[in-house]
Amino acid sequence: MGIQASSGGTSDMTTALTFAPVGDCALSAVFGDTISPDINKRIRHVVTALSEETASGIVEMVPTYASLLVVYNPLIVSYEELCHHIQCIAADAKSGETSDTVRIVEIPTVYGGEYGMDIENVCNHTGLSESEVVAMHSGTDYLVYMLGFIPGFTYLGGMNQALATPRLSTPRTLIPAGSVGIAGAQTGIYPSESPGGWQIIGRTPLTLYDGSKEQPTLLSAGDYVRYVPITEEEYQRIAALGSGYTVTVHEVKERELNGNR
Amino acid sequence: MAIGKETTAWRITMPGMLTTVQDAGRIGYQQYGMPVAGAMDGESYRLGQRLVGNDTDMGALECTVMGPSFISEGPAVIAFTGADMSPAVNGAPVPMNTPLAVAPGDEVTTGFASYGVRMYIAVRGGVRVTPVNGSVATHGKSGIGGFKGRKLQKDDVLTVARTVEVPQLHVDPDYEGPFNGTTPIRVVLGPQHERFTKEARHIFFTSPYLITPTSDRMGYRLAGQALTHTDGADIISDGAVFGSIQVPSDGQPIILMADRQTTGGYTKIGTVITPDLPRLAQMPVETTIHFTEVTVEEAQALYREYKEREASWVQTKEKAVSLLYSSVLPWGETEKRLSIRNDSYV
Repeated sequence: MGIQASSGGTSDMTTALTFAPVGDCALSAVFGDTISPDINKRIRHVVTALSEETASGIVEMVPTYASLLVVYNPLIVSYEELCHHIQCIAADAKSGETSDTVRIVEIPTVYGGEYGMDIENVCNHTGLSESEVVAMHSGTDYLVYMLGFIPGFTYLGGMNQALATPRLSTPRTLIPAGSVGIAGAQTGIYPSESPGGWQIIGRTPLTLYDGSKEQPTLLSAGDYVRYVPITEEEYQRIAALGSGYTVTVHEVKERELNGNR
Repeated sequence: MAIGKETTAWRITMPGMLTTVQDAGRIGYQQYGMPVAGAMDGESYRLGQRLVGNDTDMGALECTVMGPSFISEGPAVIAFTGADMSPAVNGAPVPMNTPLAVAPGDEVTTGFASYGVRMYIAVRGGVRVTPVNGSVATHGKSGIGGFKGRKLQKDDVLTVARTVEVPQLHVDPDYEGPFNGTTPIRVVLGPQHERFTKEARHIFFTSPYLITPTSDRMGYRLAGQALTHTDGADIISDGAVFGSIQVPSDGQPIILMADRQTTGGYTKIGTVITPDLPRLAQMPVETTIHFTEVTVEEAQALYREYKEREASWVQTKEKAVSLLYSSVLPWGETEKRLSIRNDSYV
C-alpha cells in the first residue's frame, strides 16, 4: 500500500506494451510505468476484450495500476502466443474509440464523530475546518485503479492534495469495516475489520465484499467512487436494510465527473 | 456430484499444529482483491482427491508438521497423502497414498511428520463447509473460507460426507512424491529481473538460501547473500502468483506461497516453476535451497511433462482389495517403504 497515486500522469497512448513471464502459467503485460488514468483505461479495455473471449486459455486476470497479470493454462496457449494475442487486442483497443461513459458508485458516509475519530487530526494537519474536509473529500469522484491488499480494498486516485495527512504514528489494532480514511495522499475504505494506521474520517454502512455473490464487490477497477455525506440516522437506516439497500450508481460522461483531473 | 449427500461428523480431539480446510484455491476473484489460498502442496492434495474419487474443488484437510486426531461419528472413506504423519486408525498404523474406510466411532490419529511438512486428509464426497466465492479454501489471515475461517481447534466438529465405498484405486509404485529436497528449485526470470544488478542475478543462481522460521503459508522468507537493486526495491504495485520471488530493500528474497496477497509493491526477480512448488511446500524451515534458471519455453515444456506424468500416478486396481483399513497392506511393507523415504529425504 506504499504507492501514492498521482493524477499527474500524462496521456501517452503510444507507450509500448511490454511483456514479461511470471513463471510458466502467468505473464505480466506492462502498459507503462506511471500511475495515470489513461494507462489504467487502456488496461481495462484489454481486460474487457479478453473477458469476452472463450477458449483462450486464460484462467484469470488481475489488473493493477500500470500492468495486467494474466494467469493462463500453458497446455492451451504458450507464452509467446498469448503475448502476441494481447498485443493485437491492445492495438485494436487503442484504435477503436470506446465510450467515455463511466460508472459512479455512491458511497454514503458519516463523517466525523465516533465514525471518523481522526477527522480532527486531518483538520489540524491541513488547517481546514471539519466542514471543509468533508466538502473537499466528498466533492471529488475517485477513480478505482485496482483492487488488492485484502478482499474488496480499492486503490483510489484523485484525492485533493490539500487533504493529504500522514498515517497515525501508532497504527490502531482494530479499525471497523467500512471505515473511510486518509493515508498520505491516498484515500480509501477498509472493507473488513483490520488493524491499520490510516486517519479515519468517516464510515460507510455498505458491505464492500460479499463472498456469497458472483460479483462480490460493489466496486470494480475503472469505476469512480463518490462519497456522499449522510447523518448518523441515515447510517443506521442503511445498516438495518443490509443487502436490501439499493446502491446508487450513475452512468456519466467523463467530463461530468467531480474534481479536477 | 452425487457422492455423499449424507454427512457425518468428525470430532477433533487434537487439532495438530496448523490444520485447515484447503482446496485447489479460490480462482477468479483476485481482481477483487481476494487471495487464492488453497493447498500449499497442490500435487499431494490432488493425489488425495483422486484416490477417494473426488473432484479437486471438494476440499481436504491440510495438516502442517503435526497432524490432528479425530473421532469419526459415522463411516467415511479417506486417504492420507503428502508428508507422512504416521496416520493410524484405532491405534493401528495405516498406509499413506491408499484409500481406506473408517467405521463409526473409529479414532484417527496422526503424529509428527517423518518426512515433508504437509499431509492431506482427503475424504470421499468432500469436507462440508460453506464455500466462499466457489471455494472452501481457508485464508487464515483474513478469516475467510474453510471451517469458520480458521485452523481447527480441539472439540471442533467438522461435517464431512458419509460414504462407505472405497474406490479401487492405488498410486503408481514408482511415484516418489515431492520430497526431493536437494535438486535446485527452477526459476523463470522476471517480471522485474532487470531491476537487479547483473551480479545480483549471478548471486541468486549460485548461492545457497535458507528457509527461515518466519516462513508461513503466505511466504517463505529466505536468508542468504543479499541481492542488490539497481533502482530501489519498490515498484508500482502489480499482481503476483504462487512462486513469485519478491525482494524488498534488504535484499533477502521472499517466495510468495498459497496465502499471498493478490498484489505487491516489491521487485520480483523471478518465479518458481509450477512443478517445483510442491517440493518447496514440503520443505521444512532451516532447509537450504539453491535456484537454477530455466527459460519460459523450457518451463512450459516441463509443465507439460509434469502434467502428463501426473495423469498416470493414480491407477485402477486390477483386483479388489478388502474395503477395511485393517487389511489393506501387510504392515511390514508399509514400514519398509517409509524407511526408504526417510533415507532419500534429507
